[in-house]
Amino acid sequence: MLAQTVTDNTILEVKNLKTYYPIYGGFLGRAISKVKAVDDVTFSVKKGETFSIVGESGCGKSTTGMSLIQLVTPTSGEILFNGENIFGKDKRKLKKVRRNIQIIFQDPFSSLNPKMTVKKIIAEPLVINRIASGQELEDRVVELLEMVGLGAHHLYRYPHEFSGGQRQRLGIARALALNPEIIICDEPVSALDVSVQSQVLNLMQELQEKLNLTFIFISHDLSVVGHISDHVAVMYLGRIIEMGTREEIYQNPQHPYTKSLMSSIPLPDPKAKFTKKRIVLEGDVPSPENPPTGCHFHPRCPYRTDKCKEVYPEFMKVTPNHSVACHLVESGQLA
Amino acid sequence: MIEAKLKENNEGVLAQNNQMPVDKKAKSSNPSKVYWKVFKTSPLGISGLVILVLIIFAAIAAPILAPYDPLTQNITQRVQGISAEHWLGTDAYGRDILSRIIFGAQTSLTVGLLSVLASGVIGTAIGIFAGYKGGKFDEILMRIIESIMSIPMLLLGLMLLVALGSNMTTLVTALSIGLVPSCARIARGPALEIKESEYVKAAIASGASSFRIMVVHILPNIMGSLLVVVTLNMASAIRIEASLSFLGIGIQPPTPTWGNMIKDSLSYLTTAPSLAIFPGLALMITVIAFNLIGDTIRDASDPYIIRKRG
Amino acid sequence: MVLDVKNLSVGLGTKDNQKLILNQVNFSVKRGETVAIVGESGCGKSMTALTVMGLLPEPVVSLVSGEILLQGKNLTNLSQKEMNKVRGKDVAMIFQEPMTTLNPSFTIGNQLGEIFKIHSNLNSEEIRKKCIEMLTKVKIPDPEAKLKVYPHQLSGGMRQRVVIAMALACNPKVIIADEPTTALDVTIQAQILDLLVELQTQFNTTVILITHDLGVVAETCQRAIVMYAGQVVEEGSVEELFEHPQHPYTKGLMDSIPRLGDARGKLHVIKGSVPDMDAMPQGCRFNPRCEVATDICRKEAPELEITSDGRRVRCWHKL
Repeated sequence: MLAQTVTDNTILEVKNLKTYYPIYGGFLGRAISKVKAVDDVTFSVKKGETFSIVGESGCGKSTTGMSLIQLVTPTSGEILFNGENIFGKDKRKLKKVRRNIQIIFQDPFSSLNPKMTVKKIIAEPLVINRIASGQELEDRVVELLEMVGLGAHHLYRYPHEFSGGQRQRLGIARALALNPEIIICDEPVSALDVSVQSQVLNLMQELQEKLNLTFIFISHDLSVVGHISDHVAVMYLGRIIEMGTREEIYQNPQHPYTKSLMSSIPLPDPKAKFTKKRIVLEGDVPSPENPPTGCHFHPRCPYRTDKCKEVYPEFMKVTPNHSVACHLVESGQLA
Repeated sequence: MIEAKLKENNEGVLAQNNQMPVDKKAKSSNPSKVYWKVFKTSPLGISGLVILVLIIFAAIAAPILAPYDPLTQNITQRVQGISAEHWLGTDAYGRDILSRIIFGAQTSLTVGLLSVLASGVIGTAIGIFAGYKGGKFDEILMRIIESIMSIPMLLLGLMLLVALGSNMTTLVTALSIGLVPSCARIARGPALEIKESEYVKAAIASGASSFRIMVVHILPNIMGSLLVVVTLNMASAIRIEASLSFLGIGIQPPTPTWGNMIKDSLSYLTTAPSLAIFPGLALMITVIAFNLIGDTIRDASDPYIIRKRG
Repeated sequence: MVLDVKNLSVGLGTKDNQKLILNQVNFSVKRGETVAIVGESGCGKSMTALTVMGLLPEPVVSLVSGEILLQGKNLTNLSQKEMNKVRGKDVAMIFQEPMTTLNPSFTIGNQLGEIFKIHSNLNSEEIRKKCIEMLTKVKIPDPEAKLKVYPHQLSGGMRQRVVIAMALACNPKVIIADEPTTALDVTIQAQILDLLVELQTQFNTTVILITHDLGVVAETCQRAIVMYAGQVVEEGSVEELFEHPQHPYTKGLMDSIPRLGDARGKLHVIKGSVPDMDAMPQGCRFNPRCEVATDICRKEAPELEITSDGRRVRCWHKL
């Protein structure tokens, strides 16, 4: 992991990514305002690592993931894949890029077309990109199935015949079909039971080692993220508020929001309830349609100052591997 | 080493597959087989199907089945009742009613089939396109569809037939236009929903074109409900055709249709009601058969029945 | 004992083709206790709750045998009409998804007031006061204004608070909470769990918490019942259960959770997945997935045995 600090093996660099959704309304359905779902997000991902984006619902983590492969169109920013900007490319080039970045979804039920057989589902990327046909196609599909722990006898089954965990394996096989370098995993295990979740997580890690994959792992589950990640970014209302190596984020969280997130995870240890100090936040996540002024977190922050209400804090490094956006950390008031 | 690990991981899953007798279910999972299964257990659906097959057979084999030529007049045998010679009697011109009903089936089914096919293809295409593209396309297309819907189909047929002249082509065109909205609307809803599904996103992410998504992903998912609408449309097409012919502006005599047979019988309604009753019965039975089939398909495409396993 | 569930069996399907989705479920709950029913999807934990509430989706699913004694009164003998009086008053339920629990076309005041209308003789002004009191208890800010608000105008956390207020309205003896925080974010989950624990001590209500999240169990409950494939497989105090799980399934579950601070590495795996109802394995239902299974496990089903005070395990090879 240490070798990865060399900047050369950066595979994906995201600079000032903004994705705004228009809100339609009023006369003739014109856009009357916009939701800043992703607002000025910058990060870089190294080849072969797992970069996680965590946050609560509505924080923009999924939109960030979908913006990367332009399933939603970003408003502005740069997305550099191996140094080449892939944002706003024409369709033919975009298709090429999408071969290298694939996605796994959360819901194992809605992510597979119920009217297609397993063979058709997994072959689809290969058919679209005219990579294989006939026997070669079938061989490749079987190979992919075996990679995720399924087999040739599943080829002509339909999705509803599979359990949640198996469906998620099918989703992974489909994402692997084009030999991508990066896989965006949007809550890939959130819908699964604990025992199945660990099977899928293990499989993902094994595939990562074997195929040298890079994962961008989007999740709200801090335990899972803490297990699988190399780097972690915490998002709140469209912005990254803290980012660093997993060790830094989990052992030394700086932002008050990250701290309360960490303390809110229910630990599977009955003794912890006596020793753990839980920081329970007041209120709800505000609507991204109308975020608070200044630091977006200030209405829920137990340490807010007047400055927090007015100025959005700069993103700054606390250590070389750890950055945070908080006035209090900046001025040392939280130390 | 990784291979070994993978294998170990896989064994767990394989073991689990062996526990589950999935093979038994693999047979029932094929959608067309599910339809057949539901039909088999539905007496109404089966009777609809049997009636329809008989009617289609009669229409195709009309020249062989019909005992007389449907157009040959025989003034000496006008308005006769049921007899061994003329099973269902004769009409005002002495033509054999049974033969005319059999040939009438030809007309009804042809008109129905052509208009249902045309409206099905056009309507589905419009619906899927509007739903998938959304935005302005959707707005404009749906307003057009709604304005068509605001005109009663009978009135639409009347207007077109009067304006363009009574012939088969105009009749089919009028019926097709009238039936397009039902297909467009039934296709649009699921298209809207499916375009947001994760499997469509996954397809886009691997480079699928809009055309591919509409044809490969959306179309198969609406086939079930489309089939229901198409069957029910067939019933209305036949009904409207009969109504227009009854009004004298549909298919023109001497070509026999059930509608103009009923019209011709009007002056004999009190003296020889069989002239109206038999074509009326034929019409009714056909419409009911299509409705029964439509209802059964609807039951079969109900996700609750298909997805017993959840 | 406030609640005593005895030999509860529930079947899916018609009489001649019935599959047991709950098989001889036994447990009892003491007054003022918080008990968890834990298990993976399909283990029957939610079905147990629905059975106690008398809310089985009949005739698809129906009670086969067993007794549910609420303070000695057998709920299974009650007619639907009598059961309506028990529901909400003696036992109340909190569902997972607050958006679907609340009727979108009525205000919060309407829905909360409805409960008092059914179960008490208060006039409308008293009901209003009661509603405000309940909303205050679940810490909803500005309760008076919230009475006129529709569910969609509230956030998920606030909606779940309303649902809790509704459950507590008649001061029921038992509250069954079915995955009450699963649909919520972590920080909101923390708020709701704190609230539940606080209200539970304040009202001395008995809470049955149904969940798949072992973290939630460890933090909020005193006792836990582990279910697998329609059966109770282990029961014990939370401390004992987490420290020394005796059933291989319980142990497997505990080991599969990624722990905070774990380095990356392989997680423990329970191989395979929950068996299909049509194909329950012979003998112990867990045997195909069990690491310590032997011949006897494949042939004979173990009984739920009492191993020590308050602990029960269903296994031939207790750990």
